[in-house]
Amino acid sequence: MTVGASSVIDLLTAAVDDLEKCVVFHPGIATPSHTVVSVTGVDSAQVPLALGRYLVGALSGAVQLDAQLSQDMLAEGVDRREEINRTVQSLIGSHNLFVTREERRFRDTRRNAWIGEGVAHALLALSARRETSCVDGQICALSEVHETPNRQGLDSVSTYVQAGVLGVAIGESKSTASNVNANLGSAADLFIDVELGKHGPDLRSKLMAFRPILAPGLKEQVKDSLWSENASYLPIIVYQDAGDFTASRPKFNQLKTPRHRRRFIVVELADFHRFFDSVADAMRRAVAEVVV
Amino acid sequence: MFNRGIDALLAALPTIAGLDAGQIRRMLTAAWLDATAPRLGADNATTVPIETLRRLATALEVHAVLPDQTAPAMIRACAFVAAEALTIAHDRAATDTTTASVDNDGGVQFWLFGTVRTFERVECALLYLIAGYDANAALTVTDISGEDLEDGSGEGPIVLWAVQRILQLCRLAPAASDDPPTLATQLPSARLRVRHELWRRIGVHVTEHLGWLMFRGEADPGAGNALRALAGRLEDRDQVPPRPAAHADLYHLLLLLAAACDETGGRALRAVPPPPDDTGDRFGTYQRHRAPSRPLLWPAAQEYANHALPGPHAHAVVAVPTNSGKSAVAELGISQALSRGWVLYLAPTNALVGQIRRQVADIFGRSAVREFLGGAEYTQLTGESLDQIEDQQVLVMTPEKCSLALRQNPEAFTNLALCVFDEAHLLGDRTRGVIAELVLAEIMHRARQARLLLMSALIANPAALGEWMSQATDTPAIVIDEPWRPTRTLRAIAGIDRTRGTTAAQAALDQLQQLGEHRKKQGFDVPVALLAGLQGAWASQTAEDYTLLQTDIGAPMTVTRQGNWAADGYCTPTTAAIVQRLGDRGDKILAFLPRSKHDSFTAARLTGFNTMPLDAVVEALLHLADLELGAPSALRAHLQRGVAVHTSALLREEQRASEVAFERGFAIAMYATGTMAQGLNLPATAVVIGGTEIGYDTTSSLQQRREQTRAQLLNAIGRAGRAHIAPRSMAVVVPNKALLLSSTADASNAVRRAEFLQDEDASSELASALDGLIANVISGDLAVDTLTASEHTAFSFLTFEDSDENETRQVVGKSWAVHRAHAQLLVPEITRSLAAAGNAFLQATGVPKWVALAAHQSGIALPETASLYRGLRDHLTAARAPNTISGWADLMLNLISRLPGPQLQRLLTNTPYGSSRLANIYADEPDRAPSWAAYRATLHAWLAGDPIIAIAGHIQNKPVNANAKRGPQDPLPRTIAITGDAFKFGLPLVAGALTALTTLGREHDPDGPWFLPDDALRTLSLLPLAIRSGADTPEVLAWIRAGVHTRVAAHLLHRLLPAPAGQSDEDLRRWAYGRLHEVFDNAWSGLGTPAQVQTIQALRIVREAR
Repeated sequence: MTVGASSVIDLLTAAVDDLEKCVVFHPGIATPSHTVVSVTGVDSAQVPLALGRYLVGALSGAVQLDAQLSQDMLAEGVDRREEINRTVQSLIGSHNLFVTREERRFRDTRRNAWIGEGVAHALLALSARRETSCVDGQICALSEVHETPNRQGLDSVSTYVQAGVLGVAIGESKSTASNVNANLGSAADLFIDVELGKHGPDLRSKLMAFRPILAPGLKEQVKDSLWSENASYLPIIVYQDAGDFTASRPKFNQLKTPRHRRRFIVVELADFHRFFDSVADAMRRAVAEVVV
Repeated sequence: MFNRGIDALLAALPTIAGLDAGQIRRMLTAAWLDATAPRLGADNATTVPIETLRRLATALEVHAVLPDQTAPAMIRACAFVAAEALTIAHDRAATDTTTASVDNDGGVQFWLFGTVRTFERVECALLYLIAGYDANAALTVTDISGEDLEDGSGEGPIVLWAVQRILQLCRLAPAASDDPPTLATQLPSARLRVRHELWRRIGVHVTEHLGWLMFRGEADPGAGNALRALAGRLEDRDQVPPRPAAHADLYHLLLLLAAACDETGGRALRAVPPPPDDTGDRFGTYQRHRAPSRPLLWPAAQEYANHALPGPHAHAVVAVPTNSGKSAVAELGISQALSRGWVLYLAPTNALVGQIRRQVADIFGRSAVREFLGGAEYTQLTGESLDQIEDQQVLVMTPEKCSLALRQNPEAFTNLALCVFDEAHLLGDRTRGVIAELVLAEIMHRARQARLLLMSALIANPAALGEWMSQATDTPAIVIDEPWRPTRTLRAIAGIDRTRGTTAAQAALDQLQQLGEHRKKQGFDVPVALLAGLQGAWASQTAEDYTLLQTDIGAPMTVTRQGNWAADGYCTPTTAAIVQRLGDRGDKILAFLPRSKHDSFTAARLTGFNTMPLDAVVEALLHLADLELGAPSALRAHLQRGVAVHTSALLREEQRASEVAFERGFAIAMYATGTMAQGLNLPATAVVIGGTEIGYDTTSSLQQRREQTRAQLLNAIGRAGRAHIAPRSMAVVVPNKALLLSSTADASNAVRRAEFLQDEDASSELASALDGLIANVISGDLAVDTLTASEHTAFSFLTFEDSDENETRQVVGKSWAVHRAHAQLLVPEITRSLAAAGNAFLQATGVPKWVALAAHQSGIALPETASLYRGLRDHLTAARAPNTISGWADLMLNLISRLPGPQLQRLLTNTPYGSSRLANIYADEPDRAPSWAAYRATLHAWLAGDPIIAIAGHIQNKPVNANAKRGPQDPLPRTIAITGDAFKFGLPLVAGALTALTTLGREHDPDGPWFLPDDALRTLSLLPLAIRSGADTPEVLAWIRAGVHTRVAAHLLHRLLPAPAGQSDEDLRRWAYGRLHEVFDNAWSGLGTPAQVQTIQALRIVREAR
């Protein structure tokens, strides 16, 4: 993308175009407990920049709406660029120097976690452009990327359609340089909790937020998808040191949804920290690029 | 668990993958049983996982909100099931001790405000509001406090402020008026500022909506639309690709709130238009007064408002289930009708009359309501004869009392605006239905402008009743046959678990065989199982519609040496055991023992709870009961153990003590006969029916008994559950004989033991007690000699003297029986036949025609009136008239003791006399004489103010020996029955007939012996009330008329404060009233002994609590 400055929509569109050129979704590989979908190309040189712009674009959309609401409801103007900058810094910090233990903790549990969620969001956004192996069909509605660093709940909720039939997908992002197994276990726990209904309010809220965007015929189908225990669970792992993704995972076998809907979306990075630093830098730069 | 109202609601559910409404119904019921099973000590496997309930809730809540243009019925259905599923999931989690429980983390996850569980409770409450179940909504959030909403974020204060308003919406309670907090954070982000403002607006819109509902604001703020518009601001439709709504958590809340405000706004009391002649803004005043505590109309009231108001301009039949807001319909009708006249409120029992009087007084003020208790005896006593009926008043009474008013003061009915008849299925009662029907027919005749409002939970043919009223008055009648109910009741039948029972029996047999040969049998406790229907009425015989629930409740059983089980006396102890278990686990139980009034005390002895000490009102009532009985009330010990009893074997003070103790929570359980607690508002979370046989009227046919049983027991089931206390409840039937249960396949066998379980509440086709009489008239078979007792009542009611034939024709033509017989064209002929039969009878017996009018006015049958006429005339011709109450009482007994057996039995039912010394009063002479001597002594003791136990000495063959027990052979129950049946009902009617005869005699037979000395006339006019109240002098009666309703206490006050001589009865009453208030105000220090002072205090406490 060559734009020096662009609108939110343009920024997002161009960023997704760039990502699409790089990212490859490989066909799923079935294992006894799940299906593995490998995604390559994320560590291409162009991706951090495109991803940074994509994420700032996504955040800017939310900030723009808040600014508009502030204007409409409070008659208070908002310095939008400053607001975007503030949001970005609250999520990823203002630099990539992590010396103290606390700083490293911020990097691993906040910044990288959020960027990892951003990677997942971008991959699902690509799956909204065309069918990918992430889900059985094409995504038609995708929840927003989170704007606050300390939040609980589901990373992403989306709906997808195949042959006119709607499905619900729940994504859980994990970013880990070398601890794949523990992160997968933690993701499985979340999905078990989802099946136990622990995330009911979050799931209901995210689905109801699709009210303005889902086609009427698809809205009618959401209840069936929710009831029929066949949601797609998408643990999306961004990692460096490979784990054995094809090994059977008993926890995932506890899930009621069919095996082919338990999809590990695995994104291997050659240099884990450099990737995240690059994306963070790209985000900071993108703040200046977006026209608000 | 779900009645036909919920079935209708569920029918509107969307089709959902692999799931139908029947499965949802079974799932929710089974899940509730899973949560309830521990209360029964059961160790049953869970049948519905909590996550299944949550998944169902999510699917249907999302469907209620997500699609556009969803039909309102579908939204309500989805919202109801979602709320129900989530609520039951919470209940289940609260009782689940397994580590797998979803909520064993204590609800530590947070969402929007407070924990996920707190949020979900508010979410459930909003869903219940959307579904129209506001009482359930309020209950769901009852105990959420500010602490549950703690939030350390920058949003915290405004969230707390707004959510407290949302909670008030869920509770339908006024919101606080404090201003919203400002944002405390320095340099807040735009996101935080926006969310703060969103929360503030949510709080403001909800507050405005509540304010409007409760008449705090004038114009409808349109909160639903405002909240929806606010949600719309979060939708950014210009984005490409399209984005979901922002602030999804708040967006979700906004959509729920908007729907909840729309739904509640559509049912607002304040939206009801005023009557056209609402002078002085009477109805508006009512709305403003009532809206803060009851801002919404339930479906029945809403339908009434939509179709019968303003005015009311139409009659209405309200056939809705128990606890579905019938009294609110009446209240709404009254609130408008009072603008143009007075209101008559009929109820079948004095207990219910009292309760309605209290309820109406709470709403419309004490001065707006008058209660007329007691009998229908003819009286001319000022203040007792209903001759002063003022507009803008509500008069509450039984149909019998009203029949007296119609006979004595028919002109007053020209200003009647509304007649409410609660428990209107009384119309079909074989004995009392006649009076009720004739009262309604006469009201339709005399009060052409009045509108009728008939209410019952049991009527299966309300449309026919509506047609009747409409046809009889040329006024439209609406039928509200709305099955909606805010509570759900699971129906179960108790039996013996075959497998565990066999094991227990074998163990008992083994024990028996270790004992000596002289022991023939060994007792043991057999485990009880419950067969529960996963539907409402047990309409299906399919095994999947039932579940078998194990309990650790034991029923008493014995085993013989041959290994046979014997279950003598099984039903009552088993009922008591179930009541005990439910009460121990937190339920509040109404237990019906319909077979006999004596069973309740037996069961009460087997039951007991740790409970609070009784309060002053209950103690005062018990003190007055002790005084009246002359012995300590046996009820006290049971109430002190948390068990109330409500049967006809109790004094009214004891019944009231039980009612108050149960209402106020001192009693955990109440044992009652089927009819005694009928219609009373006694909040219970569970009903247990001990036995499926009821105490029958001995003249009933098999079919009539079956109908009576069904109506009474369905009514009992309907008493379970109270909307603001327990939305889900259980009704357990214990068959008279032990039932063995092995599996759900036993349902078809079990239902044969309790056939009524198959029926919905409203399953009784209401007939007319006059059907037979009208049929006989039409067929030409009318003969006075062969009339039944109730037909005699009707006959004397309808056979006026000649000049009133038109009146008779009008009343007959408007009767339910004529309508049912499609005999309107035959009314003149029917009337002539009735008159001809009456005249023929009078001619044959040689009594003048005006005696028929006396029969009509006194409400007793024509033959008895004729006999009394002859006897009285003879006596007054030959001797001086009595000049004391006791003297008149003696003369009255002389007259009736000479009546032929059949006539006597119509006046004094033989039910209570049994083997007593009074048993032979119906026998032929000379066997009668000793019984009548005892009867005379009994009545004099009653009039003299002797306590009941002393009166019993005149009745019992055996010495009483201060036996104050309440068993079937003990003296007190029989004495209470005789004084209740005969002295408070039968004899006052006869006394009224003597008064009517002398009054009409002076008018129609000036040469007759009817002109009596003043003192004779005075004491005769007092006689009916004196007998009913138990007073032998005008002075004692004055205390009773002044408000001392306890007989012995009135005599006591007369002894302590004798009235000055030479006063008229009205002056005496006023004098006693003044002294009574002085005594209550302690103006008479040193009056009486400490015990007597305690009695006075008890009278004051009871009076203040009325």
